Amino acid sequence: MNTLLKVIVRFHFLLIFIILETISLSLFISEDINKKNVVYSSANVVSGYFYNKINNWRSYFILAKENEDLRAENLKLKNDIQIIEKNKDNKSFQKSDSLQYPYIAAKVINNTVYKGKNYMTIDKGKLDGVDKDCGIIGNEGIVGVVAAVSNRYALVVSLLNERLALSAKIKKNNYFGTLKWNADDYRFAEFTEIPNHTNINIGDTVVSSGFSAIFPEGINLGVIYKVETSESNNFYDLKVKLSTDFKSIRNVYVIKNLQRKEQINLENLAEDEY
Amino acid sequence: MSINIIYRNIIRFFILIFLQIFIFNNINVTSFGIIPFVYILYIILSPFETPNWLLLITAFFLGLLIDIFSDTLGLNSSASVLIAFIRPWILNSLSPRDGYEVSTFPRIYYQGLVWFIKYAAILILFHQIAYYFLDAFGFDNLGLTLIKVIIGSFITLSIIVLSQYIVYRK
Repeated sequence: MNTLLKVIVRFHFLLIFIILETISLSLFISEDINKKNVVYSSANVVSGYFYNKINNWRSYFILAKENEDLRAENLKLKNDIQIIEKNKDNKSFQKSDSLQYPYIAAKVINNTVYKGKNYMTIDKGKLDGVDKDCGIIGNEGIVGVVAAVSNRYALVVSLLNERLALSAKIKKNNYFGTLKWNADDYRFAEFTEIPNHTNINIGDTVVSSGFSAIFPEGINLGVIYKVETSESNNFYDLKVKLSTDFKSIRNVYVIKNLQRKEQINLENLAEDEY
Repeated sequence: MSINIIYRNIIRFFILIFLQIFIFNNINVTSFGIIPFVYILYIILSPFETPNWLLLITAFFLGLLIDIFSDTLGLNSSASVLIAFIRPWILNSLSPRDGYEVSTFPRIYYQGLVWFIKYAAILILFHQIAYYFLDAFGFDNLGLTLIKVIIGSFITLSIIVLSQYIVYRK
């Protein structure tokens, strides 16, 4: 016992170093985007408050650009309304009574694009109705998924996070695969699992598949930028240019799938049974 | 160490965290998004007499606080604990023949520009190597990671050396 104490006293510096470095590295390696604790993230009360304050101050400088973006979005929605109005009498156009995907408007108050695992903080939280696993979309398409919420803020796993994989499909022929960021360039992502007998051209639109219970079907993700055939298997290696400009994104919407629980329960039930 | 110096270090600790999170984290110097890591100035400027174990622990919490605000849990704390660990050896190997003079600090004012650049550059380089290799999580993009390490170290070193002239204090 005495010798053990002597060893500890003699090597206390090395021991503390090993302990602290082990804690740090295990925090880094074991990070799981599905079990993120909001207290240790930028969406905690203190951090959220500061980011929100600074963001309010900074937003005065970019009001003009923000107005421009919102006007462009309004224009698009006005055009969409016209199309829907025209189709109203069409019997094939079904109107659902309840809204499955209500939107909540939010602002990005903290954002990174250059790390391997990028996160965002938004200024809406539990009190505003945001939950874990809500989807986040911007004017141009999908932005990310909520990982953790505090009362007033939420931490969003950006699409630019190598641990996030989204189910996506080619709009024109409905072939689906997995979209994942490769931690390289914030403008591009990789799209895999599309069999190489399908006809794919540069410029084809990639949208969400609607399988994941997070995003509705058909939300923009990007366009095919580069098509490569793999030698080792029968799938394409596709590079997608993301439609969202992650570097300048500010106004986003939280999508809440009210039927998510039902879908997940049903899927789990089916998995248990068969 | 006098109480005054301890207070000064505690205040520096929080000021540097604040500057890092709200100013330097938003400065992307290149198209790779390299940011200056000014918070390690705390470890660089800690007095010679700081107990080594204490510096390890403060470095850990320094990194952890930066991590919590930048959503990089474990990344900055690993890198800053590493440089707090190697600092005693660096100080030893750079020490003048009869040791550092009493009541001086590891600053340009006392030790000279050349000494400070050597000392800071080694610590910053180790920090950047740990940070970017851990962030890339391996040696996949070796070329890009090395470029980030070199440019990042250079930018951080420049700002840290400049800061010594801007905040000019004994």
